[in-house]
Amino acid sequence: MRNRLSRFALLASLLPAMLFFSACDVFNSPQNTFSPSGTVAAKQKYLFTVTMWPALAVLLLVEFGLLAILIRFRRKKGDPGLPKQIHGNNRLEIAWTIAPIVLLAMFVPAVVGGVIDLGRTPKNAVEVDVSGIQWAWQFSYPDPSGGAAVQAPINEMHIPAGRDIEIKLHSDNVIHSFWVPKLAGKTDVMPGRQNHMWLRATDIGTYSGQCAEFCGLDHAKMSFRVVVQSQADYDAWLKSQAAAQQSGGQSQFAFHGE
Amino acid sequence: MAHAATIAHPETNTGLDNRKLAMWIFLGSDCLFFGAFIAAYLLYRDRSTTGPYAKDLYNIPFTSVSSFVLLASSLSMVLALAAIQRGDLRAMRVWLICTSFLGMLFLSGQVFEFTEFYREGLTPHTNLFGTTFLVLTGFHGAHVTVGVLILLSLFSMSTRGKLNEGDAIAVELAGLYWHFVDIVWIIIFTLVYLVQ
Amino acid sequence: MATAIPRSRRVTMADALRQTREDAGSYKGIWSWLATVDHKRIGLMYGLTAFFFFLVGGLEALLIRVQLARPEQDFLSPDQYNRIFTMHGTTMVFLVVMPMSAAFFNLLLPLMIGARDVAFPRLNAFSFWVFFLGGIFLNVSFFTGGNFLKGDLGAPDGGWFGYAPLTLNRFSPDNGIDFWMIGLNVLGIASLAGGFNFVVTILNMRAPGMTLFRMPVFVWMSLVTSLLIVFAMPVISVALFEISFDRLFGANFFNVAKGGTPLLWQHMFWLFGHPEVYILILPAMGIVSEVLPTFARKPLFGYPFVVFSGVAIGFMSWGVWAHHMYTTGLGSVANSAFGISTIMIAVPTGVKIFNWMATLYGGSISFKTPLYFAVGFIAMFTVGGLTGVTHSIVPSDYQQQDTYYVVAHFHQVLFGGAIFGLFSGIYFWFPKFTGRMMHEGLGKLHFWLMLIGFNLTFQPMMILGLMGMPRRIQTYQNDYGWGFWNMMATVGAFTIGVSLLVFMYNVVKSLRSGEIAGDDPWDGRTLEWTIPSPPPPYNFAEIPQVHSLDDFWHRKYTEDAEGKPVPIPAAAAAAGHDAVEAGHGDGHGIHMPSPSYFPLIASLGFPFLGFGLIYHMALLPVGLLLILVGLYGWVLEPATEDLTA
Repeated sequence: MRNRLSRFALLASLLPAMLFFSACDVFNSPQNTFSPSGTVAAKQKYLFTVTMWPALAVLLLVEFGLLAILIRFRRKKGDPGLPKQIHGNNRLEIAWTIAPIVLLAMFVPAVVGGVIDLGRTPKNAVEVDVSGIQWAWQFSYPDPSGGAAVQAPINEMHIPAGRDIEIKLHSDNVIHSFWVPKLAGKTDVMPGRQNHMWLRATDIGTYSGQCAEFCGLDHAKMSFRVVVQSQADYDAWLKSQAAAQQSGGQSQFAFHGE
Repeated sequence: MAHAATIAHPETNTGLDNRKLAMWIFLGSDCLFFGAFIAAYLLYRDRSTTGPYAKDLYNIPFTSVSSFVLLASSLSMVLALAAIQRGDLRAMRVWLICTSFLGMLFLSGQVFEFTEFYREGLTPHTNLFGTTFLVLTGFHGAHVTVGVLILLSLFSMSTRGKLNEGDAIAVELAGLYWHFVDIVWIIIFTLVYLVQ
Repeated sequence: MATAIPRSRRVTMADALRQTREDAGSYKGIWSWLATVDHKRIGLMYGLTAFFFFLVGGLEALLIRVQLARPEQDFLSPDQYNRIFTMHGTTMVFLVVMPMSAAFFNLLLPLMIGARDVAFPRLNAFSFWVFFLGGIFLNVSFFTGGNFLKGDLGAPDGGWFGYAPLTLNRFSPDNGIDFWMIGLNVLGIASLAGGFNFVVTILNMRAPGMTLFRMPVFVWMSLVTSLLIVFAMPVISVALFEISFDRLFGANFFNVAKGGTPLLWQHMFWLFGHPEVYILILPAMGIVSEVLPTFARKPLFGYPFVVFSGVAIGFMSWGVWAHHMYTTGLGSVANSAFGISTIMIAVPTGVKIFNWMATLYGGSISFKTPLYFAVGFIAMFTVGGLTGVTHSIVPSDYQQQDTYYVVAHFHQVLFGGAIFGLFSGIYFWFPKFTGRMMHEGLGKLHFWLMLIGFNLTFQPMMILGLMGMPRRIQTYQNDYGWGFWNMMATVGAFTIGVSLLVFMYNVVKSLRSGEIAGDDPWDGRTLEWTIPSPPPPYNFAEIPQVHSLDDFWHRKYTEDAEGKPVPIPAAAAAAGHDAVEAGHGDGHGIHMPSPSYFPLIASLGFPFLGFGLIYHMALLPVGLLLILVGLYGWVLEPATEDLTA
């Protein structure tokens, strides 16, 4: 009896722990926007949290205020239900119109500043041309020696760490959206117009990215990886790709848009 | 208690007939309809990648005449309304027929224009100009067609004695619609044909 | 002194049915419904149809949730998944929330403003039938893709937003998109006709003394909503015509090869789409503004502020559309401007929330089901509003755009907001239109299940979005760690499903054996509670004279020196009640619009036009003929007959 009880207790204490661990599993996502490895993503995380905390404070204020009001002013037994009739209070209402305006206006500089910063064209950047196709990504690099553009293997992007990367986005089919959550927020890949964005990876490693604009049948499978290397490794990789391409190794881009 | 007898019950709160108010709101809504098509035309102006282009096709003198015809039909519409308001049903019928005739004249002008353009190789498929121009003016033409149908229906109701002095509102509503379609054409003619 | 209907008279469901049968005269059974022009019957049909589509859309949501419950599943193929999520969004917006709001407008507006019907009863019937047939037309597409039982679906697969060029023939060659674009245009006609009707009804048909600032807030919000419909619908119509011309006649509006731009579609879609969001939420805000004062037994705190903030929302909703397009490369100036306008639209919304809380403050709150749902609305809508503020921070929104964070956000607004608000309204006015109360215990069970299910479904999505899960993906890999919270969301979705079963059981049970409601079960404040439940076809035996905001409350109570209400004895209340148009208490001699088949005939033309454009041109003349016959018959038949003749 006692044995069974203790076994039950063990299980009961394990279950929440197991639930807790599987719930926390989500934070290991390779696309977690809260664990940035790039300057742009870090800035975006900062801006989000700066907004999130006041928003959470307001939320708690409203929810608990509402709860308190409901409890305090519930109809009690014997209450005839004839409370004082208050039609409004102009001063109070003007106050709670102005207060959010002031609070919200404080975010305006962050919005404008951030938009301008992320919208700028970086100098001295590594250029990468990105083509969205249905349903894969093709990355290509202007050859440093002036030859034909160097193609990366399908769904694979290589960039050096610690440098600004300028990404030019092309599509000859439908709209896609280029997104590497840990490095930077997304920019749409629009047919008929070239969008661009920039990012800078701070840590060497491999990151996952995914198309974020619904683009037809296999939209869900349109993911890719970004290999962030040291400048030396990156240069070596680029050179080897160029060499392979020249020796007729066209195999990598057998996959092409229509 | 005695209130009830002394308070006059107005027909409507705004004093406008329900149907008239509805027509005004409909026309306001229709403004956005044409506005959106005109905006698409303006956005795509000069962005056609292949000909024939607007400047190769427009026959401004011809379209000016057909615009004048439509403008004149607004005048006869006013006269039709004035006629029924003073109780002259015969004159109203004359002016209704006159208005719808002018409307049909305008429409045949448009058919002629479309045919000419088609001969020069313009279809909705040819280029952005063909797409935006034909769809915009086509929808305007559809509006005029509906207007002509309304005018002819009013005429035939009148000949069968179903449209009498008390029904001036019906002619007024048709008039509001007709003038609106006319004004839209003036805007289209200015923005689409004249300003290039 | 005018004769009033004795308030003590109990009207039951049977009475109501007999009454409507008498009203229909020679029209019997189902024919009396097909030909009805009575705003209450049309409202009821709107409500039932919208609820049916709610179940369809809900079923689609459950299929989506089953597919996503675990990683790397194949319960739905990518093709089925895309079609089903497209139809889920389209259905919930156009076939559920909009028509459910239209149901409330129909049922309530004439009663609240003291009118006998809407301004154009036959146009009203036309709106309903066009909506009904448009909804069926759109859903027929499920069966046109081959063998439905084998899982070949033909429904549209371009998303409810239908972004070009994905929706062009080149990328979506089957006719699902054709059903979508034509179906939505047909539904747009229904909404527009309803919009004209309600604007005119509110502006022109108010009872004497009911100035604009004596109108209930619900009527104000209906007015703003209807005006938004009137001006936003043409924009989407044009966009849909453009895509139709591209698909059916080879035009180039969105053809990139010929110089067209996909951004044109996005601008037009969202220029409609953002006002649309407020079209969906404002009616629910109106409902909550009626429910809270009734159960707190206090007037709405700051009526002018609530009204003006609603009007302000209506105006501002035209200036925020590009916040759906931050990542399309509009440029820094446009992105900053739309970010700021999006920040500021939070202000009028916040004002409303504070005013509702102040309405409850100091009240004597009676905890009935409608109040539960209204409070649930405030609590959940606040989450939606605040997540909306985080979207206005443009640079950080580059991360959240098109992720599950956005899915969570707009469900907080449209489910936590609109749907909770609409349920509050259903529980609140059910007794008025059926004569019976809904069961309180079941109602509260429904509320708690729905609240828990709702939070379990949509709060995890917020986490998932921040952890990088994009929208509209059919599946995801195991090692992304999204499995647990997706499973939670699926459990939540099924909990919501169970809560709806409770609701449906409650409706059936209450219709059969609910407590008899009487005219005024909640001690109401507005005119609809002055007349019998269910209301007679003519609504008001005598058109009332209105003296103040919350007129009915002021007929029942006066205030003492401290501002506390003091009941007025019933006899005195009746004496103070003027009638403007002295009629007979039993409704004899009131002229009501006569039933008509012509609106139905005219609306039957639209499916013919739709199928004609998709399958065979020969159907087009049939459709045109039906519309013309319907319209001519409509114009030429006499509009009214003596109800008792």
